[in-house]
Amino acid sequence: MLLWCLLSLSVGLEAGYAIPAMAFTNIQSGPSVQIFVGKKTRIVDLSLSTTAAFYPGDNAAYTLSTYGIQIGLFKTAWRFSPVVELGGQYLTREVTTASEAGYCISYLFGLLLNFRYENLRLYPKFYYEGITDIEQHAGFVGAHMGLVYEF
Amino acid sequence: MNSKGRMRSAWNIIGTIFIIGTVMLCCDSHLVQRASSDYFCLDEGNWWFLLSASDTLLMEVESVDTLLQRECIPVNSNGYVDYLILDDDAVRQYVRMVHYFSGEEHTIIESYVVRIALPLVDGNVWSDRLLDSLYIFDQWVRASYYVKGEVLACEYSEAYGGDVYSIRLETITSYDSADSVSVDSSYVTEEYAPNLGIIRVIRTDGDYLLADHELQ
Repeated sequence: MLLWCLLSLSVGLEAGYAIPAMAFTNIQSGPSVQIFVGKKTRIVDLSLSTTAAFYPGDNAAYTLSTYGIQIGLFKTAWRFSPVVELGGQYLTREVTTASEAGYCISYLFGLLLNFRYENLRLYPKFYYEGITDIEQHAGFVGAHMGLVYEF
Repeated sequence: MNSKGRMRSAWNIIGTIFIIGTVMLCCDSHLVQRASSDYFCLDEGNWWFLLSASDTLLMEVESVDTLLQRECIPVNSNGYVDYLILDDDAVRQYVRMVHYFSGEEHTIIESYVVRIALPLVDGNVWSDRLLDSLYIFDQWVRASYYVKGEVLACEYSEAYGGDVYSIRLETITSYDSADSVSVDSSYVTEEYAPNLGIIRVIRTDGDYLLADHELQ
């Protein structure tokens, strides 16, 4: 059972840039990375990922960072695959020596373009990622490049 | 129930706890709102009417003006106009300090000082100082304008639908010449609500609370 689980897994890394697209007006685009394990099921492919993103502020002393855990749905068998992710994020923002932290819900929808070479899968991902604390919604538009090894 | 069924039930429970926990944490923190809201609403035509036990305070945003080659926003508070600039890193205030001698007005300081450091983050502390001197009729007159600010608290207010920032500002002005020294200090605590602007002003002459407002 454990062996079957391991053999059906894939591990991957994504990295790219995200641009504030909704609500945020005082931060700039910043890098974001995602590490994940994936698992194929009969209907869709699932992934469990951790993400981190860093956005410098228009004020050079200000930064906004996000760290999250997300569950994703996509289809690696398709050349063009929609992708949906849902999870939670931990946000921190700092200016000089003061900082605030909190949690938010995150959701992502986008498109993958899959290319395969033996056990490797390479893809660009274009997405919109929304975050919300119920009171307010905000979001980012981003592009990632992903590399996956499928066991 | 077989092992596969038990595992599925366990995952369902973990998933449910994760979702409920995430939603509860999010409802409690409001950080997205704090990071993305406008706490000053300095658009032309906006006004706030505040009431204390014995006085009133009407603050109104007037049309954009230009001072020292910079566009600034005049905010009229009961007839006294503060000229503000909303920069990425601070709300700056126009300051002009003059010295009167023999019926003439001599400008010693004319510049912008950091009034509130931006963005608002709980616990942030800042200060700024303008200092200059002028030689007037055989003596040097030195002037200083010092502002020290601190974000005292950030607390959720159900009435205003978000986290309200409380800011304390200390201003010390001084004139220093060969035969006299004058120092004046003032303290004010201001409270700002998201996408609403100022809601409370606490000064030595009273505690003013928002009674009415209009945003364009």
